Amino acid sequence: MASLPPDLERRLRVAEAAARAAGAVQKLYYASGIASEAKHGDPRDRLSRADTEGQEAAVAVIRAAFPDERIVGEEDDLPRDQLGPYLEACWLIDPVDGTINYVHDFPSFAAGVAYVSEAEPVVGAIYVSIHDEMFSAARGLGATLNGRPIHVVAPRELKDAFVGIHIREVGPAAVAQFIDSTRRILPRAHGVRLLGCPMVSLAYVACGRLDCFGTFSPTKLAPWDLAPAAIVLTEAGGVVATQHGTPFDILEPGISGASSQALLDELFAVARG
Amino acid sequence: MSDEVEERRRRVAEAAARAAGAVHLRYRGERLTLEVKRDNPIDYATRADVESQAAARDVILGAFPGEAVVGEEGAGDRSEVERRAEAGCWLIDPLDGTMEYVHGSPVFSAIVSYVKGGETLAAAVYFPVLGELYSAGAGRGATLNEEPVRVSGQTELRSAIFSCAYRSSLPERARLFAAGLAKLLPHIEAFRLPGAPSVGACNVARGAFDLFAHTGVPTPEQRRGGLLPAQPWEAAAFVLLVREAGGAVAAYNGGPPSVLGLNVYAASEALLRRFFAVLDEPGA
Repeated sequence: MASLPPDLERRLRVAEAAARAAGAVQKLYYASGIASEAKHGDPRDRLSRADTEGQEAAVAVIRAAFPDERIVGEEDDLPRDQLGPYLEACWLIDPVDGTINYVHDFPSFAAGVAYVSEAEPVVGAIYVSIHDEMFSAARGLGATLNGRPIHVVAPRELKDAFVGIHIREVGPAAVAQFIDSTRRILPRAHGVRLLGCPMVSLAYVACGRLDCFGTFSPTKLAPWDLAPAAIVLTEAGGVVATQHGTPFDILEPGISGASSQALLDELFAVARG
Repeated sequence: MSDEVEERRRRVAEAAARAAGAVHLRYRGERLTLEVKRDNPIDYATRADVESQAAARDVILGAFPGEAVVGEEGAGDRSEVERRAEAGCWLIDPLDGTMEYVHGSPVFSAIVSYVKGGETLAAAVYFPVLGELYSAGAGRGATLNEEPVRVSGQTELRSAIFSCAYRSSLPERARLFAAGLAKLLPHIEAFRLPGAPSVGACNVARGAFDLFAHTGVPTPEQRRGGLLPAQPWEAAAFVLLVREAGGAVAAYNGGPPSVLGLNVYAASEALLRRFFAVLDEPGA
């Protein structure tokens, strides 16, 4: 178990403020789709501004509160094999998770901020800016949505469960894996959703909008994608694991989660056939 | 029909959808407290459905006394719905997105439309939690919260987001759906299963998604077959909304869309044809 900083509550508030700051930048460059001229500009340009300026805004919030601490964000573009030392104690920022949705103006995207100690997420905030929903948690303090405590739904079997899935890569092998697993899950689950943003999907598991979430084709998620969701879901009473169903590892490129270990196991068993 | 009456129908559709949505907002708050007691959430949704449909009906009949109103709750058989849609009637889906609603998600809607002679003349879709009101009048464009909306105009599959709704526990349906998806995925930018059908259709209208298929990817059999019946209280509104936003709509067999049938909604005619062409390629 990671050693906990003494000021968890304060770190939680700072993570929320930082995620909110990045979310405010998202809204600035989000073409609402309402006859906006900006929408017809280059959407990739809007995304890159939201990424760069969103991270700057989140960094500024964290620096003001903790001037000497390490901060690593998606925009720093550090390779995975160099992240280890940072993860001993650092802040992680993902200014826009769900980039394709952002570019296309589908509001399932979020800003994520986490504080990590000894490679374990101990504080996390996920801000879904367009819906103005703040999911946040700190180790031992529980998880909240806009300040109200949230909890995963009572454990149930896959046949009664609402399942989130995801696909990232579209190479032939990834498509085949996705298709095989999806074909097996569809008739066995109560309902299946693909929202296109793992962070939002896992936040939805945390508050009971989904029962579980898994990816059954390769993903390339980074620690700043995983960390906020992992602590929010864990503190909401759920379980998180890697994309393979093995114990959660912040350096793995994927994540899964559920309201219970039994449901997660059933999801993997069905997906693998 | 005079312009004035058409405009009024659109405003009444909006007001009726808002009234249905308001009922759901009220029950949603209560549901959250009941959740702790582990009440049966399905029963709860059903009660909210009946009340919200009545609220929408009251708004319509207050403005157009004596007109026919058909709701998803207690609609009667299909031929009766078809006959009324020909003669002129209002259609209400008081809650599109029941699953989302009972799971506490903010993304569900109320849908109201007016159809006559096989054409939708007015439509409104209201997402009460999101505060989003989509509306359209025949020949008058489509709006979101009073601002005009347009489809993306996308013509290329490789830049397109394809979305659909899917609801079936049959393994064979899942196999056909997966086979269609396997053909599409290599050609498109992204695939989404966003939930309620109105989420897919409205996001095509506002330019976020580029394609929406009402119930899964059209299967080879559906491509060759006749018009497929669907939920008219959904389809009628979607057809008008997407067309008035500048989009293209076709039935699953590629022919003209039906306000009472399963359709594919697209950001452009070119994109729609490319979508069907990929599905019709030989293979799995």
